[in-house]
Amino acid sequence: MSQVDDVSVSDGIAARASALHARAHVLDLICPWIDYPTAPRDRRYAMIDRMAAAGYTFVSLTIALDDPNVERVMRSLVRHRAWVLSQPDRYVLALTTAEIERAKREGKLAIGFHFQGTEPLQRNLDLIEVYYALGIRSMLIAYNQKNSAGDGCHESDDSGLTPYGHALVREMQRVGMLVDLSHTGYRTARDVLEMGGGPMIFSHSNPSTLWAHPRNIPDELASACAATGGVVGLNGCGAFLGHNDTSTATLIRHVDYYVQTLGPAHVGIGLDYVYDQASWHPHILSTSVGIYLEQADYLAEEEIRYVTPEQMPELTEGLMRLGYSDEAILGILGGNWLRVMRAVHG
Amino acid sequence: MSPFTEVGPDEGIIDLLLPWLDYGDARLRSATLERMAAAGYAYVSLTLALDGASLQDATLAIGRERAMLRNSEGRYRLATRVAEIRQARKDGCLAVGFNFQGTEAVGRNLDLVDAFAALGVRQMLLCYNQANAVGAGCHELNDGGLTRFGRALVERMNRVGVLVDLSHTGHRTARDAMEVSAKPVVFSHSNPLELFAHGRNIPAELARACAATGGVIGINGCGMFMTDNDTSAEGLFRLVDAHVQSVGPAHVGIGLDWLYDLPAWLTIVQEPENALRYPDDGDYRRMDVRFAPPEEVPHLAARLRAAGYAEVDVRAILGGNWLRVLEEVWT
Repeated sequence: MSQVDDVSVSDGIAARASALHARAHVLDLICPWIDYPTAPRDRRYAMIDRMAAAGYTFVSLTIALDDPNVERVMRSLVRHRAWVLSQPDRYVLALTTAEIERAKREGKLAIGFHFQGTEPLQRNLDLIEVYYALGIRSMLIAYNQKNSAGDGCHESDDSGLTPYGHALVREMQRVGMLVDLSHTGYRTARDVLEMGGGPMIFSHSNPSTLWAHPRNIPDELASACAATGGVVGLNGCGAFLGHNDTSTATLIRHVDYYVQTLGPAHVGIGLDYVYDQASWHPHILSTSVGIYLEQADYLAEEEIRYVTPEQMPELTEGLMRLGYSDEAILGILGGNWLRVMRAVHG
Repeated sequence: MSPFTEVGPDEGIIDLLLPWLDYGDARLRSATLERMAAAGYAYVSLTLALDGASLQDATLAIGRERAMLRNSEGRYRLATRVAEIRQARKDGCLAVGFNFQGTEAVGRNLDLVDAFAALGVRQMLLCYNQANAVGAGCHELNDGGLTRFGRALVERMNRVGVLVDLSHTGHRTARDAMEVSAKPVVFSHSNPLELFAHGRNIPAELARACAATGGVIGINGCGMFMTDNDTSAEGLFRLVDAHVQSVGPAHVGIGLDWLYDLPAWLTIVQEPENALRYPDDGDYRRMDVRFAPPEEVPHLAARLRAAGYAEVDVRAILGGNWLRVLEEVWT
């Protein structure tokens, strides 16, 4: 980056980018946060502060994956809810977009919650509103594997959205819970998108055109998502960016692909930043057989890299150098997520 | 014109205890709130969990009842502030709150107090007949008083705005809780022990200590806790009057504990798993027990007036006293 820095001094873009980044609402709807016994909590809390320092306005924390244990999910939810509420000078439990904007004005980090999955409902749709009341604002339909609602993206076959899944999506929409289709099987995702009823998102799914991987999605799905008024987020995981290359330039290549395909108003960022892969992978693999496909590069000898929160200012500058308008950049950094959230839950 | 209409239809009756566990005939259940609204109720507190219910049981019950209220076409409405109770009354709908009879759904996790409060549970009994992590229930052999956890729980309930309810709780545990609580505490449904000796009833001395916190004692309409199983307006009047003699009219209210499907309930009570929760010396398995229905409350009002109770006191007993406590605790 030193070369870029030298140029920036002379052309003033770095300063403009820095100013734009400072006033942007930077949102990430997919911050892995799940509790597990071997999680190094110090690193987890440090990650939040790193994100705040990198200019983030709002992060949504993953409270559970497809965990069908209501008790465990509730305990996790109330623990993190209490943690956010216990530090009102630094964090805001943001349940509305107005609260996110207020947090930005007050120089605090806004925090929200989501599930990566729908099994915490245990097929009881009344729980959607209960979790919503406690701060859950989005749920992805299925996490890699099959569940009651439909299929995950790592199943060998995808039988589509189930009747329960159909009722689930409708109740989510009634309550104002954002429908997230990342990690979900293509046919199941397509079935959900065809239901309509408001904007939907892929919070963190890269284009398969640029890198073939079952966690990435075909253009046809990304376009269908954009057509709902929704947003597709770029994932910062090296396994999905390709060649484990997490340089800002590669992230920008993925962003630009979606901008060309969908238009800048339908692109966002969802870094999926795993703060401690060394403890996370052994935990999830030992408790959830089949959750990650062996042939899908997750278990390569080289540790998977992730785009770090600190690269976000570089993204802003890089997009500016590509000639993106300020408006387009503000949208990609978080304005587009805000628009969808405002439409779905206010 | 019902007797109650004469004493002031605007405020309405406040009843702090309606068992609302998932039991019995669904038709009787769904008619219950309608009957209460018709009898002039402004607010009723629904029990969604007893001790023994897990965190999951309680969460599912909350989901079920929030959906019930949402689907009631505006007839019933969740209230967690007194202003909301008053507004509901103005809008012609019945306000509803949630309570737990016991604290085991919280386990030992105080953050769950906050979460349940956010979902509408603004009233919890500390113990239900038996001992738990907080202290002793009123049917225990021994009462070691409020535990260290119980003390922290009461403090958290005070802070979050959850009403500390001491009915069903052991007397020493209750006394300890009254000393710890910075907010008024209540016995939502406990009759005077001096009138009828029963483990569920409380001595005047305990009622006075409750009143000294600014609290209120609600009369219970269950015949098992009354002389001669007399659940008529006359029987209810004797309960109110005895409490009033101890604590004055500003500290007495209504908590009928009405069972909408009594035969179903009596079947549950006889199940072996409930043998210690409802011990034999409490006479819980007498099959002729009666319960005063919501429609009896307006007759109680008339009876109080006939006995020379001032209008202002009648209104306070029917609901005003509870509202004063809720105003202080919920904000």
